[in-house]
Amino acid sequence: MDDAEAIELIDAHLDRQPLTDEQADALTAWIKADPKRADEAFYRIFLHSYLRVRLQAGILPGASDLSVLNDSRLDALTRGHAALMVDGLSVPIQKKRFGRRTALIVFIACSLVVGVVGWVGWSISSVVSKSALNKVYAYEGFDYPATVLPKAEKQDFQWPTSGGLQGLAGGLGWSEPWQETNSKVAVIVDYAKQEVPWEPKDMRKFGPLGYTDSRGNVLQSLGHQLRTATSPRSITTRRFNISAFPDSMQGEGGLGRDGSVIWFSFLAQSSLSTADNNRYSYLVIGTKSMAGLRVGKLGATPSGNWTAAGLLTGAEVNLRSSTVPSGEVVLLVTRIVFRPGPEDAVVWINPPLDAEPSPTAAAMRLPVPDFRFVGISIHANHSTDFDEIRFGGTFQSVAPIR
Amino acid sequence: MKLGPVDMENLPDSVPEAKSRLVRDLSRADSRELLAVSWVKAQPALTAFLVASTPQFSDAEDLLQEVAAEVARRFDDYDLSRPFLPWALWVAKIKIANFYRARERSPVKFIGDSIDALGEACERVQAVLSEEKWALEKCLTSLTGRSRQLLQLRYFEDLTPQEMSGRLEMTPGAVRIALLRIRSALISCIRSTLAGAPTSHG
Repeated sequence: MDDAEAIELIDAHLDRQPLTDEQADALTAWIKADPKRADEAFYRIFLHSYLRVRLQAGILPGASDLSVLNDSRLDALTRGHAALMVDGLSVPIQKKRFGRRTALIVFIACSLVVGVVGWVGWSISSVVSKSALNKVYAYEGFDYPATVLPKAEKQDFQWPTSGGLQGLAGGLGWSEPWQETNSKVAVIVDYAKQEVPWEPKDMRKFGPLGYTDSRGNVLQSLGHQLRTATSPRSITTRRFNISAFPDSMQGEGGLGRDGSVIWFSFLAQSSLSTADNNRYSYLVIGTKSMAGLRVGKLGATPSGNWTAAGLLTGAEVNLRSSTVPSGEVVLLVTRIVFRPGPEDAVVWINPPLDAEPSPTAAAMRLPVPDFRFVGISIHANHSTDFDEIRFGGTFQSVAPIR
Repeated sequence: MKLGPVDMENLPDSVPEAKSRLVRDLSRADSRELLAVSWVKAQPALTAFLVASTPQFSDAEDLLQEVAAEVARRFDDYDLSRPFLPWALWVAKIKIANFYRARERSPVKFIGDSIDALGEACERVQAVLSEEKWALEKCLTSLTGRSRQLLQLRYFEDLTPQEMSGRLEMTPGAVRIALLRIRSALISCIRSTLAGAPTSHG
């Protein structure tokens, strides 16, 4: 067997074309004959594997970014000049969402896509109206009175073990009040009216959480903010009202049907930047025992920088860390594209608010093991503030400008 | 090596070493950081290995999750004096064998007979994969629209050449040849790119 024939058989195998026993034997003999040939075979396999990962993550370089799902896909269809539409080949792009065209154009374009493309999840998402997508499906601004903390000298101060967020039921898009499920509780803090015994290194003494982008756009924010407990920890959870989300996002096991795209954002700041001694404070969706996504400060990143990690049967996987210290106030915006197999999560830190940011500007991007979710939890063993939690179908829905 | 039934729980935790140092000797924070760093480095090679073993992408991706979970579960037993990738490949081979056993299918013959040679190649090649990826990204920018579309259909929509042929009004054979040529062109481009700028990308 010559090299060209071997490569052809490897490609055939990778393209799911069964090899005959004779072909498999000949190919095996070719690979085993020389380590250089085995390396050649592996390079070919790696190319194939990388192209799969690359194409699933976004459009190829040199063209518009496929992962900016809003508008550009339909624009491509209606204008017919996107990178994937060249050379006279008229196969439409598969994933799509909503253009800025008229409702009629959107309908026609979506119908074209639905008619030609067979991926049911994406097809279903195309019939959700733009206004529905731009709506925030769940929101919590922690617009509650500040928790009354026990008055005591600093050395005698005891963090509350009851009350806190327990039973608070504001915001929208939730099916039940907040639940405190660990030994300490998270509390509501109001820096304007509350005298806070700041530690010398506590970064939060410079002001409440808020975000203004580099162009002067201000994120809408309301009310007070949540502060997590320390020593040992607080776990504060709340379930979504699933029916507040579009049908296209709902699936067996909760939100995150394959083909749907969910955005979420929140403000956060830790009291200290480092994660020494396994300090953590993060928001999690999904479950630790099965699969999910953590975004925040994780003990696995001792620098303490803002981090994201997938979860799989109790372990963090595909951990990505940013260069931004957790002692800095940040707006973390996450987009999850739910796909067959691993989900694609992209996290931006402090993006400009006036347009959907490009994935190339993201702070972190990671594959997340296939998961669904029904609520959120905020876990912390270390004092961190969270605020303005939003879940929606578009960037604009989770990053509204004041 | 033939891929027969393997019982994960009854395999030795690690190859005996005169002076091994296990991860469990590290602090929890160090252990977690080491796992994160090691996994990120090994993941592209492991993914390729699994894709070769189970050409259905969704199967390979499921297997990768299982390998990740198993690696995390057994990481305390990982011997720090040994390279990570061969250890992770060992886990991957077991998962591949279990995958076929659970489905009562025989491994694809070519892979069953070549798995050790490919595993060794995987270890040799891993060190240069980041260079390859960098060069490949550059090469991808030079693809024509038609090539892009073929790759889109094959890798994004996960269509076989047979399925693609219906979309493109080409014969399956013509699709296979087109994909072969695109891949070969990319590999040639990677080589010439790396030869021209061996260290310029840092």
